[in-house]
Amino acid sequence: MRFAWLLPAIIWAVSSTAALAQSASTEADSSTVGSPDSVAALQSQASDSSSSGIAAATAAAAEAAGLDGAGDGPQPFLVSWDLEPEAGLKATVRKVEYYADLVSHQTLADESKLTENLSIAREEYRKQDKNVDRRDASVLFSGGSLLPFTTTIRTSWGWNEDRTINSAGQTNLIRRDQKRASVNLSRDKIKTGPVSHGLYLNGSIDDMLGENQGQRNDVSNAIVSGAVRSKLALLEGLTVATSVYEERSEGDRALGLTTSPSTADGDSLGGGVFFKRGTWESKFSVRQSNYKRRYLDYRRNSNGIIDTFQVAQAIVEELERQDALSLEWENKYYYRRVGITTFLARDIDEQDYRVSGVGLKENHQDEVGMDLSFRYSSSDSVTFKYKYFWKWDDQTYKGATVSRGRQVSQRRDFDMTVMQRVFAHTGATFKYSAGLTQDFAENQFNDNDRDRYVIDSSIKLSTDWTGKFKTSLSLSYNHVEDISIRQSRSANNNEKDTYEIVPGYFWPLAPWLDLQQDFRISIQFTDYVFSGYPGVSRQDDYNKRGNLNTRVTLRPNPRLTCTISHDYSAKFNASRTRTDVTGTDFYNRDLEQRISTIDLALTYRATEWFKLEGASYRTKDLRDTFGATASTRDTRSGEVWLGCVVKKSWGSASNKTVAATVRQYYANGPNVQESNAQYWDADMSFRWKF
Amino acid sequence: MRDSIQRRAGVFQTVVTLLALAAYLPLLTGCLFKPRTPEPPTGAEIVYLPRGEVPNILANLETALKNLDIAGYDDAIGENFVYLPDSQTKNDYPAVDWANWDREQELAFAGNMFDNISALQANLRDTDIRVDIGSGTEVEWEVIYLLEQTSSDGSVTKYRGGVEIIFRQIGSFWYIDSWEDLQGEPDPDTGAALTSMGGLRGAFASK
Repeated sequence: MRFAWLLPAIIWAVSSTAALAQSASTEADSSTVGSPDSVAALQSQASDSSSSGIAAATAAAAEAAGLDGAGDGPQPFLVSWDLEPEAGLKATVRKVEYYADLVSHQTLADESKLTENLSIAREEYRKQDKNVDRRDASVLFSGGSLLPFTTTIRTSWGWNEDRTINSAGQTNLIRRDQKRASVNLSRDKIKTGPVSHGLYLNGSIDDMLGENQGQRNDVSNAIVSGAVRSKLALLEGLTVATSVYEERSEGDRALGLTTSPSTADGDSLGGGVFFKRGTWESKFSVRQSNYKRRYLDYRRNSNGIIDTFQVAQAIVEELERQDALSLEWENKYYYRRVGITTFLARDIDEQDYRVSGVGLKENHQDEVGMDLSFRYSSSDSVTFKYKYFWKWDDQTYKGATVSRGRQVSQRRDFDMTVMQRVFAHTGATFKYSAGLTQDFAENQFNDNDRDRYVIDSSIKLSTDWTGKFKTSLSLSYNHVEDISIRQSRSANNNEKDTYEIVPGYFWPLAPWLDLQQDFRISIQFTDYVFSGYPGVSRQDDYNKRGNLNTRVTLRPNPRLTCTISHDYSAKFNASRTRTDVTGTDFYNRDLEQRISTIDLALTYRATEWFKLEGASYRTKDLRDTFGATASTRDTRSGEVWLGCVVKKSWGSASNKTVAATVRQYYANGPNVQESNAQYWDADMSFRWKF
Repeated sequence: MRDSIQRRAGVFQTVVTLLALAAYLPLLTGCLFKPRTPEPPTGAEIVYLPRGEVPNILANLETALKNLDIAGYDDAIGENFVYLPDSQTKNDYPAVDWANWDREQELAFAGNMFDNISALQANLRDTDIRVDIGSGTEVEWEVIYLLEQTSSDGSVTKYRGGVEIIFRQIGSFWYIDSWEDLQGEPDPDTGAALTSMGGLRGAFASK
């Protein structure tokens, strides 16, 4: 591994921290020698108190250390120590997961913190032959005020194994064993004259052993990075900021039977101007970044896909380069009841691959937005929004002399919202939005040019009668045009118009009884633009549906809640068969369907920490199809589930917690499979903090 | 004095409401943006089956894939669509945000793929494991699919995988609500292990 040069830095950081901690500990130890009887008494008191274990012992030692000077003595090395073991089980229809965690926190002298984390988990999948095992361990040290800069040292080890067996009995094993050590040093507010700086340094070592589809995939890396961020206040409310970032990594990668060195270099330079005065805020920022990486990879084709049909899976040494530039300018201004926000952004990036068939990829993106809002009373307002988005991407395949051509996407959106109190208890909301999305392929390198135009508008009236009875009425209209431009695809071009009306009410009949009903009627017309054109068989159609949902909620006592609901929906689809000389269209029904569902749910809170619950539904689905083959189908289905919820904490400061949600499901009907006819669902955990 | 101020405030609110309506109503009948005029169709149309039956939805998705037609793909995917990758896909493309893969991500992937590949052969019901008639508003299927994708440089890549699909009925039509790739399956011709089409999603995912 080529990281030997980093080791002395890591060793220095750790040993300095340990030495400083050790000297603090020595001072604390010497101060406890003076009064053994008093210490014994305190420790006895601590063991009789409600708190126990390590926390009490350290508290007693801390008190003893402070005896001579009534709190003026040096702080003990170990101020507090908490342990939090947790174990649990989560079961869903997809998988069952077993897990156990142990987290240990130590607060040290000078506000340093040490955290150790151990965890183990196993997932067993119910519907496929698949198991996943995971083990993780980590140690995190935060320096606090121990050093003149913020220090974080972290070491971790993670192991996981994913074993999946397909329908042919073939096993795919994905295994990963990863070790990592890192050091972070940072310090803010370093002043040089009027300029304030922040300095950030990071060094890490990674060692990963991996296996996938029978092939080795090992990576060893040492990474060093650093950043400097500077800020200067030019005038009141006006600040200029810059940032510089540099990263370098070196190591080895083993892929299959091939091993090769890998390196990466990256840097970024950014700056910005920030202004804030009164109700006006403005910011402008620009960032340029560059990145270069050399590594082993599988051979990839022009779309970046591993080309498995070549002679074996060829492994190549890839050289990847990326450059990116981004600019952003945002303004916000508020004056009395008027607010204006504007936004402009540009992002450009290039990716170049020396070996991969991808070659050179370019991306460009511009965005412009504006919001205008006027609040003319405490509850009334009008808002306008406009956004324009334009992007293109291009690619020059490896070995090609000219680029593929730009694939361009353009989008424009306009929104208007008016919220108005019409009467004392009635509010109205008007919404209108229009959007046009357009895709172009330069030089027609594909036939996918298309436009999508959408209009969405609605009016909603809500009335709160005497603060209890509530009604609402919503009217909406939606128009969608899907247009393919090229002649090879335009036969399916269509326009859809949807009209919908939704009245509803909520009526609290009594403190223990609520009634709610919502009714929805909707019709959608689909007009195929080229219907009747030679070679086009698509016929215009419509579909309409109505839905009535009724819900009754009963609360006979504070512990018991019962909800009964009924949902009835009717749907009709029809296609146009002919148009007469007067232009009148005639439709034939294709489908009629009626679905009726009744639901019952019960919740009983037996105690503050224990709740019983259950629910059941039954559905009747009656379906008639017409046309050349008419048929009627009547199906019934249903489900019942029973369960409980437990959440109980006890002990000093409620440091022990048991939480569990368990449900048993029983289902029936033509769609029910063996795996979900009867199964249990659970989320259970036990946590203890001491 | 107070009555006068309140009356003026009430008049002001009424005027603003009427002005907002005056701006709103013409927008309903007008056309703020104008789409392009399409070329009249030539050649065969892409035939999609009625969306009132569950098997037709998967057949329509297959048709959309074969014809690289994003409009047909859009019609098959529901508003609350989620994609759940298999372990191999997550391992091969760890930088993709799989946890938030929704309808927008799915359509961006499909559009990107259709714009950049030459051809796609698809058989989404290569093997039926569990298929049901549509009833109520939710149906679950498990099938094995087979895809052959031809890249722009002429190279051909095969994908075969087991998938669990949840279909949901919204209004009058069925849609695919969830697509969970389970694992790769062997090549029917050679027996070699293939990956699921999660690899295509990883390669063409929007950044």
